[in-house]
Amino acid sequence: MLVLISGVLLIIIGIWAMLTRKNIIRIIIGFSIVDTGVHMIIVAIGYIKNATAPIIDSAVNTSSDISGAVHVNSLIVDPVPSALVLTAIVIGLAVTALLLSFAIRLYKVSGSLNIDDYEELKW
Amino acid sequence: MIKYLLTFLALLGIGYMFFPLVMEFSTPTRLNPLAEAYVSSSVNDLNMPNVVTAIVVSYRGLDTLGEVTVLFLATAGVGFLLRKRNHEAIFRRQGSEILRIGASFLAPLIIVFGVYIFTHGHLSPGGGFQGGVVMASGILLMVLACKEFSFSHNLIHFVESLSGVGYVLMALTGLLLIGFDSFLDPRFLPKGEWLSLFSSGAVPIIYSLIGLKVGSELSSVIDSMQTGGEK
Amino acid sequence: MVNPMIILAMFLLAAFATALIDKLSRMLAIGTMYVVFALAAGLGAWQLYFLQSMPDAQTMVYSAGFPAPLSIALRFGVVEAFLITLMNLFGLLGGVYLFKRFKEHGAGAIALYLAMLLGANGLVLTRDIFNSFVFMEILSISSYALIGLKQTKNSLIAGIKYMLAGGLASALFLIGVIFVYRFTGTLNIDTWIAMGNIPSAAYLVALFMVAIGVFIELKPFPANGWALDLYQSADSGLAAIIASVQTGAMLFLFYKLLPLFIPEMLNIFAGAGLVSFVFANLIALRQKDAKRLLAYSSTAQSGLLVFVIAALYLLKLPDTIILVIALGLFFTNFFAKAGLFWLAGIVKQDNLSAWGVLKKDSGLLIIFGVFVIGLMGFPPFPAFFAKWHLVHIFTATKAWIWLAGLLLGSLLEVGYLMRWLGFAVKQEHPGELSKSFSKMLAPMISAIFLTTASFFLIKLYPGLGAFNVYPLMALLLFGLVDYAPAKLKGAIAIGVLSYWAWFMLLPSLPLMGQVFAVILVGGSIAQLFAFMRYNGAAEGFFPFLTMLVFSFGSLITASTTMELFIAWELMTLASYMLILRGKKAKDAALLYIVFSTFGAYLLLFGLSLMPSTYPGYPLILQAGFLSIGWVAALFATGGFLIKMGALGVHYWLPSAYAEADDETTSILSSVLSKAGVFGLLLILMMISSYVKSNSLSMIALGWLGVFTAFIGALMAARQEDAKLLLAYSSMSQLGYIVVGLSLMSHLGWVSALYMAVNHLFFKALIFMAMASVFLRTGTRNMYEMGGLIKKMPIAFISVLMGIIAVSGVPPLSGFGSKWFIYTSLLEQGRYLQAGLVFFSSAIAFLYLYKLIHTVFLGQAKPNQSHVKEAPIWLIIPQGIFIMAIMAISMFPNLITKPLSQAVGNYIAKPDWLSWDGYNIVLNSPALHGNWNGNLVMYVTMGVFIIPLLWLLLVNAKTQKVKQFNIVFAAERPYKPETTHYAYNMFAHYFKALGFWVEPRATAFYQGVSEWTHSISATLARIYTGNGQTYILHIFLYMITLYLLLGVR
Repeated sequence: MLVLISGVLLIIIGIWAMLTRKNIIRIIIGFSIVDTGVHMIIVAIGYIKNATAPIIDSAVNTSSDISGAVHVNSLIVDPVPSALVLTAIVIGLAVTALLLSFAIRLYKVSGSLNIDDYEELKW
Repeated sequence: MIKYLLTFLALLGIGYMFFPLVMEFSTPTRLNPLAEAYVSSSVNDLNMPNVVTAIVVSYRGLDTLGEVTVLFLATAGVGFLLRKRNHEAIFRRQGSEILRIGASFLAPLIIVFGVYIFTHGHLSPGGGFQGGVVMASGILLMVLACKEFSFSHNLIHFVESLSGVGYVLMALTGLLLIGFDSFLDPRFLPKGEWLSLFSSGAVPIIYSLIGLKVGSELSSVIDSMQTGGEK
Repeated sequence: MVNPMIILAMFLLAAFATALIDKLSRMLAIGTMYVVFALAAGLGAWQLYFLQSMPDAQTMVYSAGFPAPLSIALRFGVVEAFLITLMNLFGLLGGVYLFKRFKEHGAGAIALYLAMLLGANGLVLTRDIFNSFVFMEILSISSYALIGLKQTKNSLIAGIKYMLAGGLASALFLIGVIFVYRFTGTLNIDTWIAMGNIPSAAYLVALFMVAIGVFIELKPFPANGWALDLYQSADSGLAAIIASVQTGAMLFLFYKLLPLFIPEMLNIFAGAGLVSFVFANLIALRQKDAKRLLAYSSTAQSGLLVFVIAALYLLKLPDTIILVIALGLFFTNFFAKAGLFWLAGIVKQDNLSAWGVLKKDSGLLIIFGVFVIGLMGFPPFPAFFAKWHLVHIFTATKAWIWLAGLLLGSLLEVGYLMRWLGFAVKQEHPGELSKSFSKMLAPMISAIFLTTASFFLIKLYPGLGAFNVYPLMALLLFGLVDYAPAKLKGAIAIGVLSYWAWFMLLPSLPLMGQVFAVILVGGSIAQLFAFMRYNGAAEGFFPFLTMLVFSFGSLITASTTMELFIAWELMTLASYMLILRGKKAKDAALLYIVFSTFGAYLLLFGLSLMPSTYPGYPLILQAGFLSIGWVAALFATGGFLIKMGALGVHYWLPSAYAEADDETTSILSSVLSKAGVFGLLLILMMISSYVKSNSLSMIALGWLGVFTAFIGALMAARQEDAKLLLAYSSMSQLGYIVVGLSLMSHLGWVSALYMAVNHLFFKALIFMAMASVFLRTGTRNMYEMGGLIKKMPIAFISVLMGIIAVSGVPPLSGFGSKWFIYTSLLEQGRYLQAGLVFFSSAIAFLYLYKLIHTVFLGQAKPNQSHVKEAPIWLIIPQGIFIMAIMAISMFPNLITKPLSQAVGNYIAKPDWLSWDGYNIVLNSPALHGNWNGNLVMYVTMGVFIIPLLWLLLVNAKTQKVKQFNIVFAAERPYKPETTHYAYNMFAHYFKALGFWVEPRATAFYQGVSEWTHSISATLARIYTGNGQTYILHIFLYMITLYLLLGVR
């Protein structure tokens, strides 16, 4: 719950940064913060009260039935969001890396990182 | 002024939108049926203790294939964007001797650790991505610490390409050997013994390939950002 | 079946291996990529073929050996296979277009481009919501990176804006997805749909976030500033792929999610899509930059598609119908929009007015025309059929706002696209095209593909006869041989058309249809001779002329409303192209097409309200017993009246007639306007069961006709330009026809048709004669002419005959037609209207006198001493029409009897109308009269010949002087022509009557135009160019939609 709320707060803070900061790098940082917030929400969704990691090793209580099928008896965290967050993180990383390289190129081409300096295309 | 007001309104609106999401949230006390199915199938069908890895590599392997592609794209994109600008050599001071020797000592260990992580992805926390990142951090350490450190671009590209191709071929092997719906099915190799390195079918191989790919891709990103990319 | 995983694997293998292959050989790497696209497209086609033969085959494929929802499922059904084929074909074309870029940049660019297509393919195939996210990101990230193909300041900042917007959209999507997982416990779309709606505010928010994430990626107005900048600044090859493949894939994702949305959400998205369509088109109206215009147009189109699928889904139509309509729009849009972006890369001119460079390559110009016209939804392009059905669906469900928005947006679209086409065809520009084989291939193949597909579509479309295809075949065939000499093409055209008209068209028609066939087709064929006067190829005439004549044929034979409308649209298109051919006709043609399109939409709406007809029987045959409601009749009438140039909607007429080539004007005025008469008559027939002569509506229509006649005549009298004079004269004459039709009586209709035939003859005659005058003198201003009687006697005789016929004095047929109209008006007791019509005829004398007197009589102009008679090709039609006029003047029964018989099939002939030898006898309680054309002719001839003989006798004694034997005035005024007596000839009359001709219509339409432009300019202000503001727009837009949704 707390993780969820802090995720939402992070998103709002990130958006605030994206909407008010003028430096493109800072806007990108804002974007990363939003991403992190999203990841926290994903993780929070998967959490189950008093559960352990979804790795069925000796820490987890299992039993098997006659046919040999194994049953997991103790509480474990929902593995799906954990799998999803992995993908989400990688994608966020990719976007951030690209954004930064755009910023680098832009700075090399025109020497400014202030977003207000780039308003040529309009209307 | 009006812009600040609108910004404020936007933030307020977003907060308002998230409100029901947070208010109606309560931490569940048990798994939903899908997750239950994953856990039981992972243990019984794939013989894999790490359910997350089972999902990542097998059940939702297509996502992971896409994810590797995304990373690959980021590498290609960064290299492409920062391509062939004739960098005037930026003056860098040589790192101190302790730093260089320390780094040279640590880096191989870090890389080996990375390999460990991705080869044991199906057994313990971690996996290809984590292992790959750890490997790349070893490279990063070297790049930061040693001025003259360089590695073969060709080698990196080679590893990157081959591991990617290998991954797709692995996926196709499942399709070929098992059946129509078995793209990315790792079960064409034996299940192996519970909790052993060579178990869970082809998962360790696939995850190793992913690890290699991620590691080489991230190294390549570091390289691009450092030197300006491909020549 | 084909396993779609293979497609994905193929792309991945190629993308991963590119770096290695590139090390071996760059050409090999590029080639591999092309092969992958071709294979993927082939697999799609194979699957289509497979599903054709086994429609019930399983189309769901799972991965990892587990069924969904455990694993990720792909579906490879008919729609998916179609899209896969299309997109990969496109990837191939776009890849060829970008060949030079790939050659320059190598592995990175190739891999990115491959991945872009991979993302699109995956997005189409996958049935998993999170997997959609992954493919969406592959698609987006590769397109982000490819922006780096062009590293200018503008494209880089556009890239950053794009990434921020795209990143936020996908973040929203992701949050939505994870909460949906929380509520449904599944990520598989089908399982999710099967669960149905969950009654929870949080679930709704999550659903909304999923939807808005996709929707933002579809670039809705006004949250699309980033997309506009992207399209404007990115490499045009990339913009083409983003506008087509990426948008297509995102749209399909949106479509997949539709079953999940609650009706309120569908409503909001349909509305937002429509707003986007209308407003983006509105802003595009004032764009001067070609790529930015395309950007607005693209966002408008994706708005339209969102609107269509959401609206149709909301109306609970079956999936097949939604898909057919959406794919129809998408297919056209896909090719046309990408094609235009590609062309933009070849033209390399930002400014619209610089697109005249396209003229340097007529092939490219034609391709451009195909794309633009396809995009606007003219037949036979698939978008036409889609819009046709949309209008019918919205009418049937009484979705008036949607209908109005759809038509309004489409009208705006026609406005700017046709303006653009006008620039390309007419504006001279010295620039150069950046042509290369690889760049030309993509637009060329898409244009060919689009036209071929459309051609088959209209040929195979259920319920469309062969006649609908003829205009297009004519366009195509004559287009292919357009380099041949005009004389040869003219001869072939006349031969083919005559054969067709005589052996195929006439036998298939009832009498009334034959009357119109003679007017429309016969009248055109007679005038085709005039076009043979051109030496050389005279490109651009015969394809459109033959298309026009064939479309007249399909108009008359149309048996369903759809056939009628297709013929109408093709006719409009052909005539637009002919007008546009005039030297300075750019603006006039634009005005024409905008008004015509407006008229066509009124007609379309009217038609959509009509009951179904009996295919196979011409409408003109069915019209007698079909009955339609008054709303349908009102709108359809409005559409037809615009084509006729009725008062109030005549604004387009003078300039179009004046600026078209002279021979074209002749056809427009004498023939094309009669197509409107045909339509109007058709409508009147269909309401004749409950609307009579004394109905208020018919009296109003009569007054409209009367005032058109009156004001038209007054305007004509004011003109200095002979063509404008004739243009207003035509408008005036059409007014008489409207009056006649409005009578809803036997005599009234006969008089209207008789007038129509007459007008064809004499107006064509005068126009042909005047065309020769313009040709020889090089001017259209009458005060710059004079004394041409000696130099162009044939033209003089033609004009003389013509104006006698127009003015309605004996002995020529014009008298008869006027007489018919007066008597039929009197018969119905419309005395006031009769009076004003009579007065208009008097005014007609004024302008006709001016025409003959100023041009042919008086002093010859010194600089026109070289003038000689016109070429034979202009004289042939004149001869035909003179003979026709003489014949029907001497023997009016020749034509009045069949006309009466034709009308008699719909309104019975009264007993008091009869024929007695050459005499037409009226003997009703209210009217007594007769007209013996033959007798009148002899009497008048006598009256004419006696003074003539006397004059000839007297003439022998006159002393002849040379022209300059007199003393000129002592002073030479600054503008000598203003002292010419013909200049402002009737100034005195206009002191009395001038208030009638104040340009009210002009003021009104200019006001509309100015308002539209200023709204457009104001709206465009929201695109400040600031990336941060665009992010703010996205959030405000999202919140607005959220508040509209009203989640509790």
